[in-house]
Amino acid sequence: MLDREVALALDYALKKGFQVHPDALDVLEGVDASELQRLIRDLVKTKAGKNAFMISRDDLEEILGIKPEGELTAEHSVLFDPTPLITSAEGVEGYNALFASRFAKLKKIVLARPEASRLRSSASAASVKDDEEAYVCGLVTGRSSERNVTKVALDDPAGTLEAVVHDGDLRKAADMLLNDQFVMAKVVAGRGGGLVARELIMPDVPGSGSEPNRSESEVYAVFLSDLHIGSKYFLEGAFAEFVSWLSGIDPVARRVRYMIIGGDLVDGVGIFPNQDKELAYQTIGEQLQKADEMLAGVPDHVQIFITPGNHDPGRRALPQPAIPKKYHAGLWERGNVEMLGNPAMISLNGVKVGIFHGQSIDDIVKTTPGLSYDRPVDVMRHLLKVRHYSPIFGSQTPIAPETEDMMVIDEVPDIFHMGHVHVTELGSYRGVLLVNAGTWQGQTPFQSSIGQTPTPARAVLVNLKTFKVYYKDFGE
Amino acid sequence: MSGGDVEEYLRGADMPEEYRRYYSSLSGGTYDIFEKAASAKSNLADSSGMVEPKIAVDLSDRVAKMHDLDIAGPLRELLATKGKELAALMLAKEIMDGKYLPEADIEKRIDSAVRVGLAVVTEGVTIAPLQGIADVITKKNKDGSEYLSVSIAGPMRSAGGTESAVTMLIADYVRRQAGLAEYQADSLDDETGRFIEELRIYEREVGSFQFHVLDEDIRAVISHLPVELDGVDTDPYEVVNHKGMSRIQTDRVRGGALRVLNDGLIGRSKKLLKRIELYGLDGWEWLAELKGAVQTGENKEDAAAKRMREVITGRSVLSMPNRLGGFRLRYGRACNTGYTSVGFHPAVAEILDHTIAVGTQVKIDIPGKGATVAFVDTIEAPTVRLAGGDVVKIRDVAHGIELKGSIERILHLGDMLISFGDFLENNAQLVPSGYVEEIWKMDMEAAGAAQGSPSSADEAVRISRELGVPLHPRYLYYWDQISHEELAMLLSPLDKGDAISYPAACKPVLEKLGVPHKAGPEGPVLEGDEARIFRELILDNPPGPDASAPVPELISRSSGITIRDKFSTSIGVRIGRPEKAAPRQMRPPTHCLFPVGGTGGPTNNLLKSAARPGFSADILSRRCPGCGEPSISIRCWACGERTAVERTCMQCGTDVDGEECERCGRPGLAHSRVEFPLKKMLVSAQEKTGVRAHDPLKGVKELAHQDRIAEPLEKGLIRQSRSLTVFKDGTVRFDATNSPMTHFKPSWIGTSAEKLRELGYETDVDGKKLEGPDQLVELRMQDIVIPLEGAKYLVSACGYIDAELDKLYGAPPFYKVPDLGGLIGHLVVGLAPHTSVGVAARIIGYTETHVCFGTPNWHSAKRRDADGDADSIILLMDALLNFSRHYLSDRIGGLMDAPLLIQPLVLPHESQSQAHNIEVVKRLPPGFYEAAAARKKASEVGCVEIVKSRLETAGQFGGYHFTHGTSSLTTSRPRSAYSTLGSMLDKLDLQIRNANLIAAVDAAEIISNVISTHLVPDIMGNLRAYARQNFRCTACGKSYRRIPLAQRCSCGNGLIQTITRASVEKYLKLAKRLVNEYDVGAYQRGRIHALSDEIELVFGKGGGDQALLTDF
Repeated sequence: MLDREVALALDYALKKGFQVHPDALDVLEGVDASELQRLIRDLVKTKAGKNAFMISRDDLEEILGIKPEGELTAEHSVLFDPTPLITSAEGVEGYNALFASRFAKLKKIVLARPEASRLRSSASAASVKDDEEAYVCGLVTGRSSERNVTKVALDDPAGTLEAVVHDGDLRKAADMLLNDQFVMAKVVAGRGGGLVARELIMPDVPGSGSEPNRSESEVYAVFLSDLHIGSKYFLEGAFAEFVSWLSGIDPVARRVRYMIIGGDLVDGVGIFPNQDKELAYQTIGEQLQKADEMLAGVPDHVQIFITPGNHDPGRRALPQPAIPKKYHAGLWERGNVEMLGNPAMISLNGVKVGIFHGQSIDDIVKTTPGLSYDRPVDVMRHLLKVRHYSPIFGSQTPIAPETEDMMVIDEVPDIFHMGHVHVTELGSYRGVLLVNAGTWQGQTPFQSSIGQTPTPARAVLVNLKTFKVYYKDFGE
Repeated sequence: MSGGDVEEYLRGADMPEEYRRYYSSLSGGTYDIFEKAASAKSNLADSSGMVEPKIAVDLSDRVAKMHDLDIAGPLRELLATKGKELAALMLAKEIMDGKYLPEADIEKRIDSAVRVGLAVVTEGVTIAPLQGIADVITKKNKDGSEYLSVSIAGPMRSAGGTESAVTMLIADYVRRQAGLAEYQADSLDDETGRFIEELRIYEREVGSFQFHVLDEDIRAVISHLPVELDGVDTDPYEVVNHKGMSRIQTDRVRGGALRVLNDGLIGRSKKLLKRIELYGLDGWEWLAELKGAVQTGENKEDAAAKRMREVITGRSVLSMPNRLGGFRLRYGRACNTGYTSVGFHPAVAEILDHTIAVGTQVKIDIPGKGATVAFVDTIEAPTVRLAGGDVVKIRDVAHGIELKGSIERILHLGDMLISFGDFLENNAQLVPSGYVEEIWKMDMEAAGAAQGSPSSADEAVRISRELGVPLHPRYLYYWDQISHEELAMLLSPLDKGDAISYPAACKPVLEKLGVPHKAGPEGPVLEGDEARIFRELILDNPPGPDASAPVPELISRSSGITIRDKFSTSIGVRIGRPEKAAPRQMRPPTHCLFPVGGTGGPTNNLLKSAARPGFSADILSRRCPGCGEPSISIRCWACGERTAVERTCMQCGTDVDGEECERCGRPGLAHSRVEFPLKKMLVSAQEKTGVRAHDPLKGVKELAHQDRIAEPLEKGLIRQSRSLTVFKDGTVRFDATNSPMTHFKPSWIGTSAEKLRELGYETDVDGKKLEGPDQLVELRMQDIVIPLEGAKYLVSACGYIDAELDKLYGAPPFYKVPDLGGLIGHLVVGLAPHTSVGVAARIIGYTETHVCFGTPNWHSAKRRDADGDADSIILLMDALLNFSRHYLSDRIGGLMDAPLLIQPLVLPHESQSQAHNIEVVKRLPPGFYEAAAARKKASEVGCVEIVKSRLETAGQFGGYHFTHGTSSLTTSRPRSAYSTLGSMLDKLDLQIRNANLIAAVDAAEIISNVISTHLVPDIMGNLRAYARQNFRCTACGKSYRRIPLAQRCSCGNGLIQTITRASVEKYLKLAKRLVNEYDVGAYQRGRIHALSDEIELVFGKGGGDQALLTDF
């Protein structure tokens, strides 16, 4: 004799045109009656979508989480977090140290190359003879394009030199150089005096050779950014649906063990003029409180990493410390939340994930031909080539003086996660998976006024074993 | 044109004989100086050898000379028959047809046609036609058809909104005449989208426009324009989504084109429709469909209200709009108001610590947006509460100064005098007037009584009772502003004997009414006149409890004395720019336009450079063929031989005869960096002038003109010896805020009646011989009264010019002015920013204030409006002798602010209409007050005589009247607090004190605005800037975008940061205190605290407590 609740639930499934396998009935009897109806409803909904109308024992076991999953191991560690390291220096001394560190770290990367044995200082390279060639490296101090040449100036601790680039393809590469990025150049003496660059070598990522890191078990990480909680345009409904999806029956959802929020968790205060008119919550405390509430629905077995963006409290200059605890302790005290700075590097089941919010995109697209806001992955490739998250100093993006340049990408990640531009885009570069995570904020009046269309409410999911990646849209 | 032509030109005009003599003497003086300057320059002692400014008598002459076209005669005829607008169009057509430029190709003719058309429309005063239009060219549409493209540059802004858009209409007219096709937008790229994006980026990154416009309007305009609107980039901000477009050369924002689109085509679409009708242009009907200007702000709030909210730190808000206790509107004009100058009672300045002074610019909400301060002491003075609680009405300035220290709150600020003409100029709606003495007088006349103002309350009551005339304004309180409940409270005093005492609860009501009273032990006490009035009005025969009629009517009924409304409206007033009177200096200050490159240190010291062995300068390659020495002057400084300029080809380096290289066709380069005998030359110049150079003798880093033409060193030496500096065009200038004046007393300007008679001022306004210091005299059209400091500066300049004439040019001295008195009667030119016409004027006296007083017509001749602008004054001889456009940059905007033309005469009928919208009546007629009561538009009022109605008659030159007298022009201090207080914190301190002092100002609101418009942006801006900052060399001044890896300057010296923790934290402590002390809302408070936390996260904890701030 079936329990009355079980009978009602079965009746519901049958009415929807489903068959229930007799084996499944055994499982049903062990279920808490109050949960039963919801379970069957969810199941019916999921299976109807797949045009499968038989409810099996497997289905029920899976939805109840009692099916043996194989072993899902989840081990994470933080490889780099700038939070304890910042505010290490000030003023001229600080900037001297910062750029010296940038130069040293990046020079170390190119020293692995065979040409490096012929590296000379800018001072001695300036005096190369007619048929001589020399390699120099340094940080770009400026470039200018004229009718048929590009002039590149760079400096190293010994001084500054300027080289001219004529050649077609090389000129294109020269026009892509960012101020203050590191570059190694092969130079020869020009006919009318001066130096001519023959080759421009970026630090770049090695590509083939090293074995990529993969998770042994088939767990998923979900990548998000630019939630803008507190803004009137935050898509609360879509986000809530995403959170409840995580604890639902979707087989992928059930394998999610990590969530990374790459900045702009909240909309902040005073970030742009008259922001108060676009805020649903007027203070940082209320905004973070709201964020805390929204994230409370995420299952405990999902480890959340939160890094700041340009809207979050703390400091705007890069590198940024984690969102300070003082504004709202709730997130810090949550067992499954890790608050980190920007940029950060974490290891998820051995997979290295580099997280950077992406502020530097603003400056880079402005000065680099061929790059644009709506193709952020191109910018991410470029950043990997120059091995620096935010090379340009003195433009829009503030960069604070520190004794170490923490924005250098000294270790190559397996996954590079960015946000900031509110557009979801995926790609890869020399074995590195590139994820730009989009946003959970609808189109703002400002974006609409300049014709920017975001792609909101998409959760990017990466299978850490297979590196299969796709996004799930909660926008409908 | 010569002096004789001027006589001819004047002959046609109807004017009093004395004016004819006056104008003759002005033009005679001008031509005399011109000839003397020309003769001096003919000895080739400087780099030009000829007088550069041209004398242009009228609009036609100006347009002709500015564009070097022989069109003055025909234009004059066209103007006389067709009016300015149509004349512009017809002349443009004639130019396009090739009538005046037969040699030029069609593109050049079209270009000229559009520029000249705009020049006529803008009266040939601004440089918009020369430099606001970058290019007018033909381009091809996708289908191959040819169309016209107009490229706009930054200086177009000098043309104003409507005129800048008219450029496009003129261009379209010319396009049709030339048979060109229409521009087809969006046929190659998304040009409409580009304009939308670009405009929004401009608004965000650069600054806002006058109006906010809708995307749909931008789309409509760009897709319909028959002529392409293009522009040169003006600011380093790029569009993001619309780059690399085939017809738009730049990816940066094009400020000039955007302004034409936003403030012109869209913002003034209604005005343009009228022009289109006038021009008979078709194809512009779509303009009528535009939504037009949308006032910026969320709830479509009143632009005026928004203006009042834009509080700037240190610039006090004096009165919020339409609030009892704020400045009450008073209609009328004094001899120093009108023409956007408004009158305040001088006691206001005294009790507000000179927050305002003569010439201070104020932002107001009625009738226009800006005005300058003038003082008039025949309007109502403030009513204040003293520390003990007594409420006192200030009698006069002396009384105000006496009370100043004990004022606790200013309950009523008194009146603000605004001229009818200002309402007319803005076509503003009139507001009913409160009951003022002017109306009372008319009521008395209507009642057949000839009596003056009553001397006591008794008399006032008697007059009202006997004649049925409303109670005299002096005894009238703001009965119209209290409620029936409040009136009821006043009906039962504690004691109504000789003195009337009220319970303390009545004090706020009495303060609202503005009744002076004492603070008694139990509450307020009325005595004397006030007690008398109260008894008559409300105590002897108390009004009944009837809420159906307004309070004044109830009182009138019960007391039998007519009570009229005292309040009208109050004007929102906040301080704009401070008044200005100062020598115009270059940055850094310069004695001589001679280039030292990086060798002169931060002051570009010529002596330091001269001491360097092998000094070289990037300078015009002028060399003496005789002795081989480089030279600045045309005549060799060493041997007197005539020098020549050597040009070399930029491409092949060979010498070029003439302008272009014979081999390459490239223009020859006239300047180069060459070793220069600066030391020798300085020695020679010192010997020649008899002046020793002092350290530092300041030059410039580099010269601006493409040929790098320098000034003779003698000029710099003499200037330094007279403590003068030079402006970039070679002249010595003094800047002062413009202020109108139509009449004066000799005592106000420090010139004796005798001296004034010599200048032609024979009689006073009543026709009596001018003999005493206090007779009122009408100011002549081009006579000016300049600030005393400016006069001293110009006396030095006279000495400099005489020495220069003598030692450099070998000519007789001209000025021979030993002291201030000697300067009276000399000619100067006034020159407004963005313009290029210097208007002649004669100095007749000095003022202790910081303004230059002149007639509205004279100010108007310089430019379009005068609300707080400062114009330059240059000695006429200086402008003719020392100005050269070869010192100026030939880049866009370089000619702004340069006396390219000199206008010797100002005839009223030729000035802008604003100078014609000035009332010249002795009093405003009853019809005016009726119109105001009916809230009519000023343009609907025909009963007030204005200058316009006298044009083309002799009456336009004089016989003006004004409605309100004043006994003095100024107060006890000539400068406002803003310009005398040192630090921004002191200014802010005054601002907060004022906000707390004035009842019509809400301190919390002011502070909240100060925080969001100044403190937050300052802290935030500096904090961001700290982490993007430049570095500077302490020795050579070289600046670095990023600190070099070598960690020092290329010169070997150390580098310093340009932004420090102290500059970031300058306002932090103050801001934190303000958000805690005042209720500014959670958002504002949150911002400040978040910024404070951010500073700690950038710099680390502590270390930031600066001892700069003291508590208020």
